[in-house]
Amino acid sequence: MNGIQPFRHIDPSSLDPENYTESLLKEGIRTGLVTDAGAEHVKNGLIAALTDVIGYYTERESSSLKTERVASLSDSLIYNIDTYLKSITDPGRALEELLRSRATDLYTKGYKINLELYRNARVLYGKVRLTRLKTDDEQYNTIIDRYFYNYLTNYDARFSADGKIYLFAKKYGCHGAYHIDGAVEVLQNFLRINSGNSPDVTLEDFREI
Amino acid sequence: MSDLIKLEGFSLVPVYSELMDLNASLAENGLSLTAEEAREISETREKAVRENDRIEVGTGPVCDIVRKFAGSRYVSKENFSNVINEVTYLFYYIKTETDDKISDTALIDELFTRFELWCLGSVDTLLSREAEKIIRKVNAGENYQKWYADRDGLDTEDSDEIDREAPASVSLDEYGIELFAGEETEKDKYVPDVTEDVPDEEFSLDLYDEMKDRYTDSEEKTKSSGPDGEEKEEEQ
Repeated sequence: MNGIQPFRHIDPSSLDPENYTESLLKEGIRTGLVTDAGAEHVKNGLIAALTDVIGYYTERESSSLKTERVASLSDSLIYNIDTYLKSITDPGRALEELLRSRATDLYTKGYKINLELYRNARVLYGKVRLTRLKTDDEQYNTIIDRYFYNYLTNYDARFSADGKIYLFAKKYGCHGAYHIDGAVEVLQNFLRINSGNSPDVTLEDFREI
Repeated sequence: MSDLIKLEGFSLVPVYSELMDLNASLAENGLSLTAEEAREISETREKAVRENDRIEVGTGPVCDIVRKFAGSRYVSKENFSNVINEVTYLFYYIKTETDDKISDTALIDELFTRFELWCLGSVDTLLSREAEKIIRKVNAGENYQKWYADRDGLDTEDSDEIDREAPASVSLDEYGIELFAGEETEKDKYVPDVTEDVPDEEFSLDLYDEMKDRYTDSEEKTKSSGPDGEEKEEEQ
């Protein structure tokens, strides 16, 4: 009408970190940055990427899988893409990446980030076990010996990237379900607990001098 | 699960035209598939995928099954379509029951081998007997020989015969070679019973008489015991 274009801005507060790709796409449609055809193109790309992931999983030896297995591969695919898009600080740029890039490429980039997190988690876990406290606290020992061990043994950044560890130990600063990035933070916290919070020397020690 | 990927979007790729294209190679074996038979096989495949709750990418293994079973000496123009339909359905069933532990190619080879060698062309035998053996074999993995040697009549290393009742190798492992050596071993030697020293007259008693005697003895002991429970000597 008067040539003024409406300012189209993605509202970061409406982006759901648990479903980042989906909420980013919805936000793009809401602001008019993404057309219906563009959204359809993205969804078709995701189906194609899932076909690739199925091929990686079966090593091209099976043409079919059980539906529930495909569903879990789909969750892993979306989680890896979410991880990569979240690593781009500007949501506008993240949306451009989503529209422009192949979904398989986004999956691969997200997989590399989660793989690195997983490797960090394993190193931290080793340090936590080495520096563990000598305590008969069942919660502490179970978290280290069983929960983290099972989680890190079964985690696969390719096919179960969205895997969570469930911890309920408020006194150790962990209560809830954690993805691999949260698991790294919990392990760092345990390392701090193991090394002790109180420093060897305080300012009070020098007051009388 | 995210709403971005709808698994319903995985529609099956039709195989009808691929099946019709196979007629050129099937002719070498004197076989062919009519349009209706190809459609029926395509529908069987769709039904099998749906009923076994699976998702398939591409055209799947149907064409490979057709090519493999075309080489069977037990198929003819009359029964070829029926065999392919049954084997196709069985294929997806086994894939589901084994949790995809076996590859498509390996399963097709396994089905063909059993169809040829052990079922002698009988699809019913393949469905009723051999299918479960395949499932057991795949699920048991390296423990198959140990767990199912008896049940599935497997050839053992020490025997050329298929021993269904008591596989020699399993018994050999359990009891040792001495049991089968044919010579008297320590285990074969008679160990006398403790009661053998007792004169034979005692054991000529009828079982009822024996029990009666025991019961009478215990009654007498009860009567002869005093208020403190002490037993008094009986005068016989």
